[in-house]
Amino acid sequence: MSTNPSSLQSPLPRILLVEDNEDDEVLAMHAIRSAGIPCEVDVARDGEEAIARLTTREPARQMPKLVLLDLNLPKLDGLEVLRRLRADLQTRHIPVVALTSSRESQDVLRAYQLGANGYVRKPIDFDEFRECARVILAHWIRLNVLPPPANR
Amino acid sequence: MTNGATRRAPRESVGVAQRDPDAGFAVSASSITLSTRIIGAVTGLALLGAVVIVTTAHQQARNLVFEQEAREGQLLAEALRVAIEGELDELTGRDTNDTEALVQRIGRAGHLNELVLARPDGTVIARGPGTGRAVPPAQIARALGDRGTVTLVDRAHERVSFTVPIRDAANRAALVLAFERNVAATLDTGWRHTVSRAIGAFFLSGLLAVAAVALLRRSVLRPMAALATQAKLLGHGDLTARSGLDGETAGSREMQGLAAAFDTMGDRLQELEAQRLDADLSLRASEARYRATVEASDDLISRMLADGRLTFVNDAYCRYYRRDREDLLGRRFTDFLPDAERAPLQQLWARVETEGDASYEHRSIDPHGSVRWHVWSRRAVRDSEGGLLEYQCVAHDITARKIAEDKLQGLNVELEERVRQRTSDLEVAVRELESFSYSVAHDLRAPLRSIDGFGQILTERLGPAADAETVHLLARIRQRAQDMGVLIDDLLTLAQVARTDIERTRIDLSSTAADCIAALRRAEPGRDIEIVIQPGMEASADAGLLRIALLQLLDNAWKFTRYVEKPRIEIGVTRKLNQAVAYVRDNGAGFDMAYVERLFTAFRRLHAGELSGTGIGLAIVQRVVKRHGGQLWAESAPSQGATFYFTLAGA
Repeated sequence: MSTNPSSLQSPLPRILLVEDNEDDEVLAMHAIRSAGIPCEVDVARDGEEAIARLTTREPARQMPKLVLLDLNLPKLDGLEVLRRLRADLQTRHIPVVALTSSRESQDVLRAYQLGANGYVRKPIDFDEFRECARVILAHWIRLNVLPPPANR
Repeated sequence: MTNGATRRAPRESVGVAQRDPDAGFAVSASSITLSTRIIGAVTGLALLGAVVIVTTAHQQARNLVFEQEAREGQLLAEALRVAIEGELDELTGRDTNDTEALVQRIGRAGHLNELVLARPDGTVIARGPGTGRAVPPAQIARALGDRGTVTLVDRAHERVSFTVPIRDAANRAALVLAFERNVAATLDTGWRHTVSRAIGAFFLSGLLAVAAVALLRRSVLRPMAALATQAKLLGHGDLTARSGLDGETAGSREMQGLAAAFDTMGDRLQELEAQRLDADLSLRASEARYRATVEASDDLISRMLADGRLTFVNDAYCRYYRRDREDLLGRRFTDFLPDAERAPLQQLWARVETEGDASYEHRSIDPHGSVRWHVWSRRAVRDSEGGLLEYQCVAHDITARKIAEDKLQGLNVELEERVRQRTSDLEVAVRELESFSYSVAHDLRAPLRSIDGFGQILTERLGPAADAETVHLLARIRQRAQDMGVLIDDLLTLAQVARTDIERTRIDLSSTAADCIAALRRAEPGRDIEIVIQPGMEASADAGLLRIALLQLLDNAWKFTRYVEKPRIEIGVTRKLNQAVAYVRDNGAGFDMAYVERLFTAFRRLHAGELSGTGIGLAIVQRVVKRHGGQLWAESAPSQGATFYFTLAGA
């Protein structure tokens, strides 16, 4: 977790990473960190845990500003998690970026239909993944979380 | 197979022979009748002539006799009148007895039957021989008139009577003499004469008749009898019989001609008989064969009238129904069916009634109670006018075949069930395979991704001061991981191509090719390659699969032109063997045509090292083309570039 001197005053935006594969979690964390975007990352190991995290009545500031959701999850799969998030008033506004290793475009299409805001394919090439993650994180976090650049 | 007509004819001739046993040795019945008739006719004619002659002659004789008697009588009457007038005084003066005697004398002398001398008032003075009938007053009156002697011819009673007036000197009527002449005797003499002439004529004509018959027998009847004998013998079947008449014995030229005609007829009959015998023999042989075939047949063969009454059955039919032929013939075939069979078969029969010739398979229960299958074929036998005579039915037992068919059908059902089961198993397996593929895609790729990611992180950690060898090894680890990822992707593509259903649409081949090139440029932006795409190319194909194939071909060309000075890739359509053929041509490394067969097989690579791919690309293209019913081939030579041609049937 990146620590920032201003974190006490304006807490860093939280990102929820839903990923069952530990390797992928490490790589994703690495990618996020090397993207240079200050944020705190929570990790959920499966779909149920993700739902639990998001529906717990925590203070609004504790709610994640972005969800990185792997679609291929044990127990509750990513698409079902997405469907429930979009069905809940508390969570329906949270941007969700799907992470998919699937070659089939069907999963991406389905994710968009269920209300995903973007997707990052997890290719084997780590550099490519890092670049994609950086672009999309920058887009959503800056757009939804950070104050407009003019204010900084 | 002798028909009725030819059988009937000989029987009639036999009948003739029985009625006339000695025929052939005597003049035939009709010839006897002929000669008898001739004799009879001649005799009859003679008799008729005689009768006519006799009758005419007799009539003439009678007339002559009567005329002669009348003339003679008149002469006598005149003589008597003169004589009596001369003696009148005496007669009137004399005694009555004398007068009477005189009259008697006169009568006898003149052969007079009746003689009466009377007074003008009719009183008889004297009578001659005879009955002395009174002279009728009318005659007396007539005689006493100015007529003189009255002659009366009574042909009926064969009498000629005369009434003679006797006058005195003063010419006054004094007496009347009446007499009759006897004509009968004279007539008798005339009759005998006539009869003798008639008999003479009769015998003469008889002789003529006999002579005529004799002549007839010699020249006509005898040769005719010979001919009749011959005809009879011919009729009895002795076709060698000949008349034996020659120019002499024939009697006449006409008869000779007739005899010759008869002999010719005999020859011809002999000839025809020989032919008939031949035909009959072969007919019998053929009939025997036919009968043997029909009887030896295991098929049930029968003929029946329109109402189903049997007119013929063969042995097999009798055996099947376990009845004698006599029991079956004349009864309806439905009578021998088990009760349960009758109604359905009658319905069937009624239905085919209108159809004429028909053939149908029929399940029946035989008299032993077991189920049999027959195929019946029914043919209508018609007369020359097309009227229905009867039906001929042949039933062939196909029970064994039916059992086999049923068994086969059972097997088929079982097989289908098994195929269904297998198919369903297979579908399950395919689904499992698909999910396995997905797992492969996901689960195999994940560790590769980790290897690559961790390699990168490690490289970054080592920093710029790191040992060059270590960095190089880490880079190779990452490269191999990425290669394996591509391999997995290609394998999954190959699998996808195999199971996707083809959905043909009109495709703009030119823009698809441009898209593929754009994708390749994105993947490797640095390449400077001349791309030539023929504009306006179209194809009828599955859009997804065609794109995959085209991408593979272009990727191939892209790869193999890497070390060429002025790389060039050309995509176009040409015509070969009157067929539209698409091609992708490059000026790259090319290959030896000796290995062209290995080109399209998965994992077979023609290049090693830098240019090597997964070895699956062309196999994917091959599969796409085949699934479209098209063909894929290549032309190349080492360092001469390569051209890949493909067709898409229906394109």
